[in-house]
Amino acid sequence: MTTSPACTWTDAERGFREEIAFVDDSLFTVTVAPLEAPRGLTLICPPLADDLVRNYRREVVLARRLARHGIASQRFHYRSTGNSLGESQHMGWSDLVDDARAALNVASEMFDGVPLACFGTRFGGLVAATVASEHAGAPAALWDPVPTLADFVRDVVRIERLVALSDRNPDAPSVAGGRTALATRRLPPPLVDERDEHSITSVVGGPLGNVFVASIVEGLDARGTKKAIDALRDLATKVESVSVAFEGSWWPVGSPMPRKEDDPWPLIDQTVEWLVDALGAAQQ
Amino acid sequence: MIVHEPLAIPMGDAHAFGILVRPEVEGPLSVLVLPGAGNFGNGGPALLGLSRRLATNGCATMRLDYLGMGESTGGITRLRANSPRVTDPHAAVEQLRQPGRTNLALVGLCYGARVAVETALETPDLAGLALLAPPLAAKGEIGASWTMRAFLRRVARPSRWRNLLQPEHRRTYAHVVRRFVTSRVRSRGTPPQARTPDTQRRPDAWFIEALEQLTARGVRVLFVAGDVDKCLADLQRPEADALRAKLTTPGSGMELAVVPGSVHTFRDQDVVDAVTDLVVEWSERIASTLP
Repeated sequence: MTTSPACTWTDAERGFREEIAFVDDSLFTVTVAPLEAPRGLTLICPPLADDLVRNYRREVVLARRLARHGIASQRFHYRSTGNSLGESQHMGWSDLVDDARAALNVASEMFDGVPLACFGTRFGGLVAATVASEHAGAPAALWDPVPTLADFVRDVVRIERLVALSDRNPDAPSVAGGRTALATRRLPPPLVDERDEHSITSVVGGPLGNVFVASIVEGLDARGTKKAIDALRDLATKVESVSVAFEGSWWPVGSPMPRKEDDPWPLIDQTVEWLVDALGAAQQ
Repeated sequence: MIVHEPLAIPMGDAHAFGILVRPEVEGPLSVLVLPGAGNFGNGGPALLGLSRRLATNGCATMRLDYLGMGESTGGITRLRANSPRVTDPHAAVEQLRQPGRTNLALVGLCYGARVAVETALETPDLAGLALLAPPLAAKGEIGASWTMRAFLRRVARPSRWRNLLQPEHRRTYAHVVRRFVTSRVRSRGTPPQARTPDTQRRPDAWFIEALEQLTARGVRVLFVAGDVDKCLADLQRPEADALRAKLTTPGSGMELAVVPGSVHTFRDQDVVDAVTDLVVEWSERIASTLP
């Protein structure tokens, strides 16, 4: 594993430091740590496509708030998405999960022996559940997890059609090849091809620890989240679910997203509280 | 071989984040890429792809995350097309220049195009300015739509005075006042009803004047719009006659390129590829004229 030049900074006032690097010259990783030795580590698995853009700042703030509570976190972007490099033509399910494992390795080398939790939103929820199940008893916090890859691909197609309508582009909704062609405009083609093969039930390889699921009341797919919660109840020790009012769009102008870095942010604050408790219990 | 270098640009208590993509052997032109106003910086990942293509062609290129967005620290400040932020782009320009890079070009998408124009006005040695789907009409344009009473009413708000304690707000207010005064001085002798038109979709006089100033300085301007973008429709309005004429006149220093689809959203790969090709080809032409 090679890492290109990293940049680090410290926010002494808020009590965290960050290190940003490109692992193997391609995987964009961000390690956020408290200034003292961390009491736990959270792997933050990002979503894909438009969810990645919408959720980006929430994950940045989540990581920084966790650090203020003594928890380190590891963020990353799957190769060929976000700031990472790579060709989407070659990215299937196993490659995306490998990226999550590679990011976790970066943090594990820095914080050996601390208890692990996983976090994921939408598609990232599937990845987080997969990695959590590989570390027996690791707790997982999920925001609006998708129950199956097929459900996620269907949502991406819906969004593509809506965007095409708003662009007033009459040709876009009927791209030759139909749903698959629309989905591959935003997702790696191998992942779209595998859409019927992966669900929460199939990707979770071992028993899950405690799971926290936050569902956003006006989220994209409330029924999907309920399906995911039902599936998790059969796999996890305990599932705690909460609903939060929709907060914050990807567009900051005039949105209800908190303007100041330290303003209360209920979705994030509830998740931080749960993760701190879960990792505290794991340490004991 | 291309190196991706993450950079933390210190700005007082905060850090703006940028990714510098540099080739092994750098050419004479360096580029700063300014995204739109979304959570990631609208078009952020696609603009990083543009940075890579420019770097492949020898241009050291930095994509900036504005303060409060992407990986940068800081809270989200209100973003206004008629008062684009200047502090973090200037800090990025300084960072880009540090190892002796002198010839710069700016590329801005949507709101980032307004930021690029504002930054360009105060950046010497600027060689080029590429505007991708720039909003031509800014709502609430300062000076044109504000009466003196409206201006004083805004100044009288207690929050404005509280905000004066913060350097970022002080810089913004100084900028707004400067623009307001300039606009009032320029409109002396104009009847008040002519100064308070409906500005909802009226091309912005400041923006057009700024482009004229820049081309007079020898800055090469590339204006890229999608055929479904609002900026292209705004360009057809009578207020934009002079700008449209310059954009379509060879040798004027400005050029217009129209691509099918939406450049503003910058999400369809066909559009991203077409725009990237245009910007790379434009940067090659500029670089070929530099020493």
